[in-house]
Amino acid sequence: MCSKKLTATICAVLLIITSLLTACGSSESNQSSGQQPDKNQTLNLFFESPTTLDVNDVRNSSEFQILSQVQEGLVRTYTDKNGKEKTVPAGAKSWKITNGGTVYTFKLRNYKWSDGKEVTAQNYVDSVLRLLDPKKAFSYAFFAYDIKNAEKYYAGKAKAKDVGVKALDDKTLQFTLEKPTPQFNKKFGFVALFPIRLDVIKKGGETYATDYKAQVFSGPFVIKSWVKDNSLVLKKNPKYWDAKNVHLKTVNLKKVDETSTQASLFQSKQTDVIAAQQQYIKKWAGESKQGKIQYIHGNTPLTSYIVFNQKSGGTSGLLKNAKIRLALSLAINREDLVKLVFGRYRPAYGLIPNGIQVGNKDYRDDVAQPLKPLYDKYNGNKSELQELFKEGLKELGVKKRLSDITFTLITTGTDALSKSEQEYYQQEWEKNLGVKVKLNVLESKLFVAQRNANKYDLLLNGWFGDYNDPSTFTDMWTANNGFSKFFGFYSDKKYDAYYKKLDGVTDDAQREKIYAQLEDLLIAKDAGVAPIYYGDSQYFVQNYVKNISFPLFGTPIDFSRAYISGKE
Amino acid sequence: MLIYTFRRLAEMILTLFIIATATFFLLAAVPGDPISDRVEKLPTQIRHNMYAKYGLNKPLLQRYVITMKGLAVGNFGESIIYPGQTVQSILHDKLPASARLGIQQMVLGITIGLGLGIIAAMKKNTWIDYSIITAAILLISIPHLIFGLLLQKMFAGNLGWFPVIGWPKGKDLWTGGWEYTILPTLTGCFAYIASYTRLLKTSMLDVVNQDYILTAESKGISKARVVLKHVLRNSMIPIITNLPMSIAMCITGSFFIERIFSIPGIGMYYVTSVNGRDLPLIMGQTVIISAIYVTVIFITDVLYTIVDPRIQIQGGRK
Amino acid sequence: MELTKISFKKYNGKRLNAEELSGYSATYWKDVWRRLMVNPTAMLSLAALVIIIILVIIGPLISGHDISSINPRRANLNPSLENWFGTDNLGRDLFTRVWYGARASIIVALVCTLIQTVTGCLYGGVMAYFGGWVDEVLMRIIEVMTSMPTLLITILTMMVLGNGMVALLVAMSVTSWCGTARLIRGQVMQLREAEYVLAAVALGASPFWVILKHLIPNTFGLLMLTIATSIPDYIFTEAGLSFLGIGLQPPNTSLGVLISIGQQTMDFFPIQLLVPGLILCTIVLAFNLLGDGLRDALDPRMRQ
Repeated sequence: MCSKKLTATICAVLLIITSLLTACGSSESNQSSGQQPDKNQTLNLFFESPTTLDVNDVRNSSEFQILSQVQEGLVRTYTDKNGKEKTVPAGAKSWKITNGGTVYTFKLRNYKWSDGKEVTAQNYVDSVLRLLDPKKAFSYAFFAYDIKNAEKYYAGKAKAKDVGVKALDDKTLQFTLEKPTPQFNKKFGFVALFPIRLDVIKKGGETYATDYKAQVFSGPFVIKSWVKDNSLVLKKNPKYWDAKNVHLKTVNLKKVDETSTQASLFQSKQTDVIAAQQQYIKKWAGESKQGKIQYIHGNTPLTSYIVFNQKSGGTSGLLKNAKIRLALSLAINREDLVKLVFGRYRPAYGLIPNGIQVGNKDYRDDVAQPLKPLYDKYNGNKSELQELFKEGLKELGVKKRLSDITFTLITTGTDALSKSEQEYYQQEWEKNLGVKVKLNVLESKLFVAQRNANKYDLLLNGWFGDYNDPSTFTDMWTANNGFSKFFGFYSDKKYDAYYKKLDGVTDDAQREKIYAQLEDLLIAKDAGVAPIYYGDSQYFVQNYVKNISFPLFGTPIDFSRAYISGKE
Repeated sequence: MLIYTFRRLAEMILTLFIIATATFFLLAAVPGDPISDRVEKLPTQIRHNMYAKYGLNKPLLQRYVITMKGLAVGNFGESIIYPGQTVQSILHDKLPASARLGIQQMVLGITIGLGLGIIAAMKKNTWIDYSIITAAILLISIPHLIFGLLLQKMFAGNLGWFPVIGWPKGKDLWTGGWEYTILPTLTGCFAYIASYTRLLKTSMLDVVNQDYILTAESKGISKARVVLKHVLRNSMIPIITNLPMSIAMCITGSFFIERIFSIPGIGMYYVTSVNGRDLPLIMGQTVIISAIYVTVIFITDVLYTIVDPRIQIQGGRK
Repeated sequence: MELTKISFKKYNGKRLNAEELSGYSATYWKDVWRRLMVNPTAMLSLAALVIIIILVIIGPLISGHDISSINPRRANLNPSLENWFGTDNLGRDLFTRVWYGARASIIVALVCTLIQTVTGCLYGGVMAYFGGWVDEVLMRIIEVMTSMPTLLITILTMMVLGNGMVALLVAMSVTSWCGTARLIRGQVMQLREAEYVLAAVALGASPFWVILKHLIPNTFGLLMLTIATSIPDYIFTEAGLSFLGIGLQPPNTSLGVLISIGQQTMDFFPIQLLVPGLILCTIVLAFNLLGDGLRDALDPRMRQ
């Protein structure tokens, strides 16, 4: 959620599958484009090794990547060529929502585990109850809190039988929610709610979670072999219900750390998909124009921030002042940053990234970025920025020369790229404002300690959206919010008041207006946080790989219906 | 000799005990626990349950006692970061690759190194000596990471003679898939070549100047025999002093080489578990690696006495 | 050369005085220096090091650029009259940064080596000389220190002490002296039995005196070799830690940091890897060769 390194930790997210549940067609036929699959159906990819194969215990995208391809939940999400998402029924054949949106009843498809047993509604029920088992302490347990009595059960205040999940018969699954919760539509396809087999888990014993041989699979692929932290091989699952549309026979996933090694593997076609960085994007984008490779790029629901310590004003004691914060925010040339350091991403002058929708419309298409006009006004003019900063000092009654002021920036990024980024900020502030900036790069646990002890002025953070609505980016800025400590304890009564106005509003246009107000207040008027860049996804794919998907939320790549054509 | 062995054994256990204790408290001194960043965004109840699950809510000393009791019976506990992974299973998965890589580098490196060392010492101050030493030095003056990447780019990438990445597995784990192991072994073996060449040369020259060599020579023993029988044997002490270090190095794995060639070894894992404060894993790996090391030292000390009778076993005879 | 009669001159002085017949008399260190002077590789290395050290000191000053100024318009340039080694991804002058980084690397290596050598010699000397229970206890400490994986101790030390130069120096040398101590101990144990030490002890020399005057100088050859390999080792270790993201904080930089940055873009701007890489190799090579030469020169038994 907050970590900028997407692979970093659990905090990578509550990724919820964004689904347009209205679309209930069957999955697209692969041969529609008229290309015949090759004989050799092998796909080679890079991956981050998952830490567990236990669906209830998932933590981040490395687990989503594997589990979404070897297990089958209620629905599956694909993207088309234009990056548009489409959710289709998978384990569920159909469903209906009744009782004012509190009862979800799913009819399950006839499909089997890889050991031949039928997948039953009870498997789903077991999964939810196990996810909520207080003794297991799974980190995604709260994900099921929408379900009736789930939270109470987890706290030990209700019994398992009271939890609102029931198997009406072998193939009928029913969820009863605490109250009408529209987001649940976007949650039930989540990996942590995938069906499980208690008998298999019991038999697997202590090492079940990481022993692939102890697992049974219900998805398009099964795990053939796994060398932890190194490589994993998937084979097609012949017992999969839609096996005729799964063309890949083997998928090799390898962990490769060095960028240049990754590049040489991709260029020699030993790897079929690569997420590119820096100069490589330019190079391969050029090759894609000549039709040598496919370039698939789009948005990622991520905004990166510089956070100001507004609890204590930071070690400098100055950051409670909005003008000083604004000066710091405006002193950074974001265009140069993304160009020089990353070679990708979009400069951010707002809170909500491109790709996030209100209803069916892109929010950013309608609402201008609030910081942009201010940024253009100052346009990196040193004396004006310093003037703004000095006004802030005057308001605080601080009589200090700019060169006597030192800010401390804490961060966790230790690789070469992060170093460049940090040095860039440092330079921009020192050059444009004449203040001093001390960088303190910390290992992640030390970072947490330092942050909680309030020993910082500025810190680098980011937010990875949970679902496709601006509220996923505006929720955590209210006062005394559980997330406050990640975002410098920003609080403004006006913000809370605007936020309250959202209650009960269902009209999209009106919601959009309120979001725009919140954004403007937070980013421009209060300068409560400095947005720096919006994330994006930049994939290069060999020409012979067809029908591969890069969903916005959930697994980074869905290759279950991909196929190879024209490699030979 | 028997008393000596027993005593050393007791000492080894004491050493391991101190190591485990030191590791435990060193880790306790470092801010952060294994799940702090994982739980901090979670509701209070979940957080409490997770701390309770891993016993992290207990007082430090109590945890110490629990950990040490576990160690005593060889139960290192389950990894906190990797559920279902025990120290045993990780070592089982990871040690073979690291060990094979290490052993190949060491055997190749030391063999070549000792050979070159003998030549350099015997051809002292000739161009042969100079070029051997200079070449050895030149090759270790390039960092592993760069050297590895260059080898990879040239021989695997451009020429395509070897696979770019990978490591033999399955039945090839120990004796097959040589094409995968060549570049990583080459990358790492120069360190051994250089240090052992120089070490043996120095040591041999020291020995050559000793009186007993002069005596041997003056008795008319052939040069080859003098070198083999007297010089080499007496030159081995620094080599043996250095061996345990080499073996320890070869066990813990070559972090960068494993990284460049995506070798499923233990080097990377260790760094990850330290960063994650995965106490059971760190303790287990540390104790096992240390145990191997201590054993090697013990064997070395015994070897000392065999190679150099002048060093006596203390407490061995009374 | 052919010897003829003219090659010789009749000696028509006094009778031979045995006392005066000794050759050119030199102190030990003069002798060392003389022998080092005639070793071409060593002198070449020494010259290279002197040049590098001069550049490390004045390099950042003469380029006309500072190490941290970012210039977006001049990113990733090739070497030119303006930027002698080109610029990096943030448009900073590589020439300045490389010498600045080399300065940090060299300082780190020298200080660590100093700590290692001094601690190791004293420790090892004491251990071997006294033997008995002193040796036992000291050896146990070494055993514990060396048996623990170095990487663990280094990372944990950095975590406890925080980031910075001092923490880095401590973390890097916290275990390294053990090797030296062990080596010295082994060597001294051998020498302890030597007649001249026995003689010194018999003549009533104090233990400290014996260690300082007899044992340590006699292990100098091996020690020089250790130092020679230690300096490059430290330069490498520092570079390795930079890759792990442990170590110096920006805007400070070291050759390791520069190499890790350059390595990221080596497919596009090889010069950014090549320059710091070559300088690192040169420094390491020069130290290695000089150390080797010094060893030969220092060792009295090498006298011919």
